[in-house]
Amino acid sequence: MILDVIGPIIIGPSSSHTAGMVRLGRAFRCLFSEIPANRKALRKVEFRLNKSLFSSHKGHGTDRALVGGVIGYFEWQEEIRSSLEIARSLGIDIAFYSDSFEGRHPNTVMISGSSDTETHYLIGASTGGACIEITEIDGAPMNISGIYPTLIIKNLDTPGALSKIVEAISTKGMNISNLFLVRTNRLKNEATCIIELDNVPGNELLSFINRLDPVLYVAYLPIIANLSG
Amino acid sequence: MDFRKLIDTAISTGTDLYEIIANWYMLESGASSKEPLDFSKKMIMAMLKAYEERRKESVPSLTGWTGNIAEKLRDYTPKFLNERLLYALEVAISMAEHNASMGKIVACPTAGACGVVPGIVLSLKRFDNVSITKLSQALVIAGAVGECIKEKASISGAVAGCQAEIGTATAMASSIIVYITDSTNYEALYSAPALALKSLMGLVCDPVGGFVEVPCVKRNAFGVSIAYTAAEMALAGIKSLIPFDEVAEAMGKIGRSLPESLKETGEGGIAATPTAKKLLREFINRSDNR
Repeated sequence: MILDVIGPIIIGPSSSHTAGMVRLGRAFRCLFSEIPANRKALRKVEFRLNKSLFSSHKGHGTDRALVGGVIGYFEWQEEIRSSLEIARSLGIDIAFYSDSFEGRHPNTVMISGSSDTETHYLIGASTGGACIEITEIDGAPMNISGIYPTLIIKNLDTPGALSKIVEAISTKGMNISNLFLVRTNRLKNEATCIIELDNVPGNELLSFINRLDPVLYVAYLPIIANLSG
Repeated sequence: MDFRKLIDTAISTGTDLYEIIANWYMLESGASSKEPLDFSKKMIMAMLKAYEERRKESVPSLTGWTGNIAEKLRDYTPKFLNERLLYALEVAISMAEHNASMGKIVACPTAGACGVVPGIVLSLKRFDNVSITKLSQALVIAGAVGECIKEKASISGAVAGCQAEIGTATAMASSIIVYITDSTNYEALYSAPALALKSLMGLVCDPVGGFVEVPCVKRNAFGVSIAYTAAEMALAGIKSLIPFDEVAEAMGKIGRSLPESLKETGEGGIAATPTAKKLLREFINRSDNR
């Protein structure tokens, strides 16, 4: 639409190598249930950049963008410039590696990391104009672009698990725009459910889903691709 | 969407083109017809702020290849150009340099081409005292021009080369000048972006090292001068024989037929010259030692 042609406001130099990367970093951060409240909770984060991306990451500030997102900044915040130093002062261990992601978008990145209690990873790409595409989270393949409020739910792969989750959402009067369900681990009997919503869920709903019997973990990704700066 | 259709609707209903575009936005997005103007105002204010920020300090870019170009124009008395154009060039380069040093800019339509539209907007404000509201309405027109190009071709250098970035920015900027000068000169409003885009057709995206610096920063200044030229020609009654919507389509076709090496990969064009390779080697050695 016309609004994304005359904007958004971002920290340069590149909407795909910088702004989109901040968004991927921020999406990763949201996977940790305790982090939004505690900036210091992250211990260690590793970034694997597709080869061409790695070779140019310093000149594009891709490293600063990814780290800026991971520690919670938005693509229009000037703190992104000094994110590496901020991460160091927060005691977060950061490392960058070159990798190859064949058959995926050239601007693909894998972000993995841990807090004291959780470990997650995310694979995604910055596809241009600050748009992103998340293709995998913790072993579950998906295709989400951060334009909807999204729930990532790990649950036991038992009959009725999905209906309990969906019922919880519908009793709050919320509409589901897209839903993916994948079995991620047959041995442990686990599945991952990705739900894109039309409305922003409240904390009450999130903790209600978290307490459902088959649910093991809930992460909430707010709209990542938000135009307003 | 054809830009022609928007213009024809404005003519047949006797309504200002800005109103037509705001209503079109409302129908497409379901949001309020006020949203484009509010957003546009915010972008104009951000452009003004970014320029002010840049004037305070000339931070070098991440590679150190640019950073003091705008300063040179600022301290220079033009021999051929008028004061307005020199100022517009300086603003365009200031913005592009701000972007290259991780400054906060408006990606209009992209970060690499972020200097062209502010160059025009700030010079119209300074030399013609145009109000922020009027400039914001003009930016909405520019948004429609950019959106038409995005739909028919692309606004990404990686997809269609620099013609899609500086080319689109220049087409957008030319429509701002015409709208501000004579908002009901529909012939000129339709011709200016076509003339601008045609003059940058085929421009490749060949940044040294893949970074948004060389030649991107300086190209923003050329975008500004072409935007003024295209607007001036259109206002003089010169018509683009090929209509804007067809020019946009043609630009997309050229973009698709460009080799990958000339689409933001940093492998062809000036990026493949001996000097470019030397600059890149030096930068990599420097950053490895940091």
